[in-house]
Amino acid sequence: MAEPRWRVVSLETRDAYLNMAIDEAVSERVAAGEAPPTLRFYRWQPSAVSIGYFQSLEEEVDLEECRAADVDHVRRRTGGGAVYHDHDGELTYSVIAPEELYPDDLTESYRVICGRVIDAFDRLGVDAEFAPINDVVVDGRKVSGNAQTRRKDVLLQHGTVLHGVDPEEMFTYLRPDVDKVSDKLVEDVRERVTSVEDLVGVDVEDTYEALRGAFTSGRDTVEGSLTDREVERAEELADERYRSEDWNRMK
Amino acid sequence: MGEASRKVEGGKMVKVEVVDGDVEVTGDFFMHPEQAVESVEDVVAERLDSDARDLEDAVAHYLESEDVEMLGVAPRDIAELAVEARDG
Repeated sequence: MAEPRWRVVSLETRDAYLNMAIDEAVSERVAAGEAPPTLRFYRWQPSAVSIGYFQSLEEEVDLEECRAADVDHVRRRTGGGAVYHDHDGELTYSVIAPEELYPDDLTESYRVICGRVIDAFDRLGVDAEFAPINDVVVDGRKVSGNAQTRRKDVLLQHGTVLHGVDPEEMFTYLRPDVDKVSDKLVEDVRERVTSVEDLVGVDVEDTYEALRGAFTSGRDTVEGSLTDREVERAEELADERYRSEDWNRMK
Repeated sequence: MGEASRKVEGGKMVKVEVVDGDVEVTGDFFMHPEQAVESVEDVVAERLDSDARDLEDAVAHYLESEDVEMLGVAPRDIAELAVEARDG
């Protein structure tokens, strides 16, 4: 398939439920052949925890701490692990496109899309690399987690870029694999995770511009917005699925 | 009846829980389509008396016959964890 013209939906800020619902609503339109391949960039407000499709909400998230701090929780329709989407410390991208634009092999398609994330880090002067299956790391420390699904011949991959990360805050909301967060655990997490801010001290706008530049590079793109139909469908999906405790507590 | 979990090769966490003959598989792995996990759980639950090798074959057969892709976890992990959970 010839490289098509991509729609770019510039950085926007929404709540967890709409962010997930928009990814699904756009996927439906791309599957129907009514929307072009789409790149989205977004932040989360309120801050939120997203969990992978196969994860247990209760096991992964400290719901009491989330409630106390007005941090939302949502189950994604992609697999992978739990992520803390700090409004001030994280950016998310989505790629929503016909599957045929990407390798059939899942790991290879992660490698291709994560290559754009690596290019974003390169633009910021950071030497990052792909860590299969779905991470991007700098010196072995995670700076980006990514998750993909494919339905009705459409690939959706969304991923997080850690701009600034506070492990202690992160592990207030995420339940680690041990009984409680000890000082040692936070130190260990510091060793496993890093962020753009820690590495090069640029602000979030610079990180966004690098990410956007990397994802649009060499592509025919057009600045676009969501259609009314996509927004209406997203609101419906947010209410029916992503805000529903049946969905969020499915496991 | 109980639960068993492990960090599998590649770093993903997988847990299998067996309660009253029902099986639940959780973790940070990937499976396409995602809803197929319920069928994988049923495949294991229907053969809970089997050994790990038979469970592994049954899960692998299901994945292949239904064109389900699993990434980050193997049929063997699910089978071995199910046996461990069953016997736990």
